[in-house]
Amino acid sequence: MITLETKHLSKQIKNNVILDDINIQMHKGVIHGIVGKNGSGKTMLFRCLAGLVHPSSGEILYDNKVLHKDIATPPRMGIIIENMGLYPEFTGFKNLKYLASINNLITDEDIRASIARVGLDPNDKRTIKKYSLGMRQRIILAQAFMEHPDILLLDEPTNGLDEAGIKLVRDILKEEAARGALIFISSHNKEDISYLCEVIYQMSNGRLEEKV
Amino acid sequence: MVSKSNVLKTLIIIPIVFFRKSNLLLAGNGTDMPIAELFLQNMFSGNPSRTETNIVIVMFGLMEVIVFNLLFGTYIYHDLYENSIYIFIRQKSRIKWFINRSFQLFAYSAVYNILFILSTFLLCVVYSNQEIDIVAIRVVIITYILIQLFSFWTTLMINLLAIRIGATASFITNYMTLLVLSFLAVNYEAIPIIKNIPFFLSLNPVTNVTINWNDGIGKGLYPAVYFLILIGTTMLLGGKILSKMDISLENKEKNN
Repeated sequence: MITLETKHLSKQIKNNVILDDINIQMHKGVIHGIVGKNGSGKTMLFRCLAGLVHPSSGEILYDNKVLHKDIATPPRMGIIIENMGLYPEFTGFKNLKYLASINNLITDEDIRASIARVGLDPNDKRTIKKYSLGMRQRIILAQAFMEHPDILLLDEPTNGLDEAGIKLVRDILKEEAARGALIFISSHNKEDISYLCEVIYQMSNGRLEEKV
Repeated sequence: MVSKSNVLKTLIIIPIVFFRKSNLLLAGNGTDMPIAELFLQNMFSGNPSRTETNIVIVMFGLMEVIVFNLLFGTYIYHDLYENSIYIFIRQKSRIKWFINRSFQLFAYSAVYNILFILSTFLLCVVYSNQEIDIVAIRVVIITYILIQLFSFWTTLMINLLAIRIGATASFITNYMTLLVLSFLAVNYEAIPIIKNIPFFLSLNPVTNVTINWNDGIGKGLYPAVYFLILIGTTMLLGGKILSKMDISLENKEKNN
């Protein structure tokens, strides 16, 4: 049973308070959403939860284990962070194969199935730098889902996608939640959030409040 | 992952060597100078020995290393800011990632320097009237080891500094440091503490890569061990910095 909890989580960089006393609790099988203006702290929250950024104060707990203290890294996690890409000079398959080789949890066939799941051709020989914006977003989504992680942190997962792509992502997220994954997404697309999320947080100037 | 563009970058050294050492091709009649000596002269563009007092020549002699610095000075740094997060959420140890990237950098440096040394050696063989002998081979091997260790270490330093202060500042810091070290190397006689205690001279990386081995001290062993210690220390430091730092904040260039 995966739960994700933060207790008085704060992040300060120099004199700027980016996250201010964040307290949340999230559970497996539930899609949680976060909305807020650009620069409100959403992406920083994702980075902290992923263990990429150390909190200035407070704690992040996965199944009651404190991140950076009891555990060095979060449990198996799939992630998308806005503006963070893959290796542009390699094909989509080669990129995903490289990432999958770190933990060796899935086979080449699983990787191909993940690429096909997001509507791309697993045998496409083009390098990622030749992909369109939408294709790049799809391959990044595939890397997040491919190892069937316990937790999915998705920062703007529908960015750059057309209507069919958005529908596809929504369907996949529903499937992942049904599988039991804990999902936390941010999106500028209010429709995405209201359609998908059972719990919605509003972020403003680094502070968080639960909307629903 | 080995990328084609990075492999191609290493090939750039071949035209650079042929351009820089074109005097050998254009000189016409060969020389009776032993190949080892000719090679040493051409490696550092004028044999910067302890009698050499021109800092420009020393720096010019390190140009191939500087080119490698420029080509790969942001290799780890860019990877860290642009591609690393999807790796770090899978890999428990950032230190492991750093060691892996350092080895890749070492491999690119090894290929680049093999091409550099062999091209130079080939030109010397063509120009010289002498046969290749064991001394020449030994000199080539020692030169390769020292140049390889030096260029890898300086490039690793630039990458690490870039993570802390940004790429531009890191390059400038590196070359200012090289300039100061070159100055200390060629003017050691004017600085009593270095003149009187040779150990201080041997602590200068530039001395180790361009001068020390003309003395035959340890036949290149001391400088090699010295560089290995520097590399080991730098890698330890790099691992520590990475494991504690916040990843995926905007990179330093974008912040500026």
